[in-house]
Amino acid sequence: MKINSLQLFNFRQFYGKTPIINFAGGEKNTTIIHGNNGAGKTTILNAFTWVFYERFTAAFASPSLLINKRAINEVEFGVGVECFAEIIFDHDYKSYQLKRKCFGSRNKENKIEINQTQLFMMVAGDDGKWQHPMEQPSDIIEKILPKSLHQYFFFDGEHIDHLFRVEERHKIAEDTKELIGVKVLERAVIHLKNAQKTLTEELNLLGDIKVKNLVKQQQNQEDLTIKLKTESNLISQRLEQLELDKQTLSNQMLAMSGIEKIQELKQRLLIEEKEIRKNLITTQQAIKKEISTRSYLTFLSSTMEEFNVIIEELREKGELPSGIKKQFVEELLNRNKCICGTELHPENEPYLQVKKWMNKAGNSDIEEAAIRLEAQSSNIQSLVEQFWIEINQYQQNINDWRIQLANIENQLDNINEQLRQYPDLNIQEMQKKLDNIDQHIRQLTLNEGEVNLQLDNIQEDLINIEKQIKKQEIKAEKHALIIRRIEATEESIKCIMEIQKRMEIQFRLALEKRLQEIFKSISFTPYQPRLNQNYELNLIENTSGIALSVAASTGENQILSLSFIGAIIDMVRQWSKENNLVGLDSSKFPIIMDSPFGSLDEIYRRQVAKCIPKLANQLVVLVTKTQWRNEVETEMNPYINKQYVLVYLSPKEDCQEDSITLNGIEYPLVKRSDNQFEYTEIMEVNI
Amino acid sequence: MINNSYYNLDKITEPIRNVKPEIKAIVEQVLQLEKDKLSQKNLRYINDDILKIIKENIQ
Repeated sequence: MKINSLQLFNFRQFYGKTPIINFAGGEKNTTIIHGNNGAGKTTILNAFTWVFYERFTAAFASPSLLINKRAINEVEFGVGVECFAEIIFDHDYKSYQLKRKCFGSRNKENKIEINQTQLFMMVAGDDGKWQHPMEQPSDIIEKILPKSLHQYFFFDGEHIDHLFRVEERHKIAEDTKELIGVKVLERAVIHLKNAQKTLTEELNLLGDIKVKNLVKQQQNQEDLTIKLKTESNLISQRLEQLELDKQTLSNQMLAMSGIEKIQELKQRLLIEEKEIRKNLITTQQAIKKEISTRSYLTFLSSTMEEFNVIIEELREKGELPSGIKKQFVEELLNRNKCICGTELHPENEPYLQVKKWMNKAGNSDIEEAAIRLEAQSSNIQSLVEQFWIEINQYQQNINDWRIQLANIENQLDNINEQLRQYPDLNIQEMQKKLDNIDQHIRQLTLNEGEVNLQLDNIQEDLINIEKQIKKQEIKAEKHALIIRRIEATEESIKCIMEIQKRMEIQFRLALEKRLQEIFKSISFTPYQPRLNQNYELNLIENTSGIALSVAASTGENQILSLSFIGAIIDMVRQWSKENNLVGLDSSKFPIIMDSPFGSLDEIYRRQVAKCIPKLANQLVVLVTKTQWRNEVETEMNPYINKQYVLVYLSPKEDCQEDSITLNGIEYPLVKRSDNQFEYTEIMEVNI
Repeated sequence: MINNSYYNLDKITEPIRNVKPEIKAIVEQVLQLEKDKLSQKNLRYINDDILKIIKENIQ
């Protein structure tokens, strides 16, 4: 950040609009603002903190009296007076215009009431056009120079040592961590751990993966299928063989003398039996088909009856078909004339009477639909009757065939019995063999059925297992993905923690070194500043080889604080330049110091004056005449590019006027006011 | 200015350079998000956003 200018309007001592205060930057980076006590040095420091953060420093008395007394006394009671401070600064190749303003007025009790302040920001990029920013102005400022750290950049030199009082130490550690980005790392670790927890919960919700077990089940069932198929094949082969044997035996018996006729009859009966069984199966299939395609018709009977009753009632009432149609009534109303010739106009009596017919008249569409439905309903009735006739016929056929089948089976039993009892022993023997074969065939057919049933069941099982395996495989993929995500989160946490560890150790050590260098360049004492792991700053004396804490004086504390601020700015500047991932986005920082030489003696004044222009990229120093000593001027002169004088105008008649000589020209510091108000004017010093 | 002989800033961010590309992407995106949220003082939905970063980078 580089601050370009500041302008005030009715802000405390400054009546009306001040000239624009332009600040030095670049090689000669220092701006000096001279002013006696009460002239407005602290006001200028606080104008910065007010615009950026709506905050004031501890030394800023009565912050509620922001509006210039003269301006507010010049207007009537209740009339609002505007007060603002405007800063123009550059950051990251953009220019920002930042203005905070408020309005105040006197009430009847002569008390000043101030309304809420408003912050306005305009941004100009490479094209030079001023535009409103996309983000909130306060968010933008927070990114460039966070509010919590402002006391390191805008401070009161006389009170600077309070930074290192015991109660402030913890805050310094926190601030430093924020400056270098440790806070970002800490939060990242916390939030990544939360994410890891959520991922673990997702994993638990997914449950165990059971693919292994299922694959084993699948294998077992497949093995069993092979075994059963082999068994089924063997049975089939055996059955074929038995059928062949049976056929051979039957042929042999057919050729035997004496029983030819019986055998012929038997053969015929067997063929008939086969035919009837075939018929039975075909008919049963036909019944099933009829039921699945037309049985719904039987459930419509009661609905049809209800429909017929409704239609019948409508007919009896004369509503179906209705004598008069809605369309007809509508037409009469539209043409404004009845068929009797009476004029029909909206709201006249005949019109209303004809209109009443609208409710009574029938709709031709509805009538048509009713007639169509009626025709279909009588058709459905005949379809139902047809359905029952066909089903009954099928049933009758089945019954007839069953009787015929029983008859044939009886005849076959009798024939077999006859053959078993036949006087010829050979024939008896052959029939016995046939009986055995038949029994065997029955047994094997049963076995075949059993095996096939088992095979069907296994097939169903296998389909189910396969489905489950697919589901489990998808689950396993998800499982693996979550595991990978958890591991990646773990690695990310480790990586960030390692960075944090390195940062905390290395950054602190480097900061301590830099701090020691700066302190050494200012202080003539042998003391050495130390920064412990909590970023607590201590001054140590080590001349005897034993490190002892030093009870530092106010002046030493002031130098220590300045050194610390300088070291922090230097380090953060370096850190931000090289790394924009965790640190601040800024690599240039301004320092605005009020009375930096407060309690210092000559040697320290010289050393501080020599040192501070090098601490920051841009320096604004607010000094009194007494602080602006020869040694200070000499040391700072090479860096000064802008100088201003705050001229205090006093309404006191016998006020003691004062002035300061800068570059050989005398500038007033205190002057007699030409009215009853005190106020301050800003004069630029010729360089 | 800093004397680099006793101080090497590169060392601090070395762990990011040494991890797998997907971890580097997660770390960089998470840190950028945290930085933005910190300056906005707005922590809403941060856990969801971080989960999203992880899921987008590990697919």
